[in-house]
Amino acid sequence: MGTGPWVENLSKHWKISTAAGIIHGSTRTTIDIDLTILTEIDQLESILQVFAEDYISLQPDPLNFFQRCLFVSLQHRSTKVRVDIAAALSGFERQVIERSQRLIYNDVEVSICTVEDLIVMKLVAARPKDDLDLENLILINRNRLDLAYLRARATEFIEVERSDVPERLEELLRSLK
Amino acid sequence: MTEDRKKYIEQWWRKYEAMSKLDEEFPPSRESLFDLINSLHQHLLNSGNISTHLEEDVAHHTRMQEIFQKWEQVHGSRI
Repeated sequence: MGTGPWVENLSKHWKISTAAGIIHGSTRTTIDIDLTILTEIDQLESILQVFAEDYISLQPDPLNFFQRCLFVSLQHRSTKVRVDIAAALSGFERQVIERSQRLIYNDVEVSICTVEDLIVMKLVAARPKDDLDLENLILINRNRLDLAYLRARATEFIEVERSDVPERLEELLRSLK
Repeated sequence: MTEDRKKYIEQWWRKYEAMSKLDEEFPPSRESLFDLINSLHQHLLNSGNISTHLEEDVAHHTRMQEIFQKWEQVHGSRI
């Protein structure tokens, strides 16, 4: 996919979570890239402009959709790779970006969320394919996971009516010891 | 199963066992894995079927953003 100036401009503020799964050891192939950008609600239009030249929107009214749903799906014109862009407006996403690491993936340097944050996001998403990724991620990284951080973050979701997040984490940690 | 059939299958097992031993001795590189993934990815893109997952992914992102907004209401003030 394109690695033009937009990567340099945004590199401090974005993270790729699907590619992060591959880099952190879960080898499931992917058809899209999830990009989370540190921004403010009144900057969404300028974010779209950054992508306008190389990407087409998969939603008919991208700005309206972006402002309403805080994410938008784009497709790279030449490679046809889909890129889902989310605006990091919540403290949770902002912290994930702040903790992200600069890693190399196929000669391209990108900001990737930490494996602990990726695990929490996959626990929150809780789709069957996320569960499969979780098993791989925990199994491969189990000796270097920051368990205190992981448990603290997962526990935050109890008050968001998602007590399944810490429960599933403990189940996985027990079964994949 | 006939004896001929068994012998035929055994040949394949021997081949797979030999290949597994070779993999242990000469593990395939990460680069070759990337090539394989990229090739599968390209095939998928060329199949023209990319929009199949769009609806499902839109629902996923919508749900995630709702959860993050709820998280913000509960925990946002402590940041």
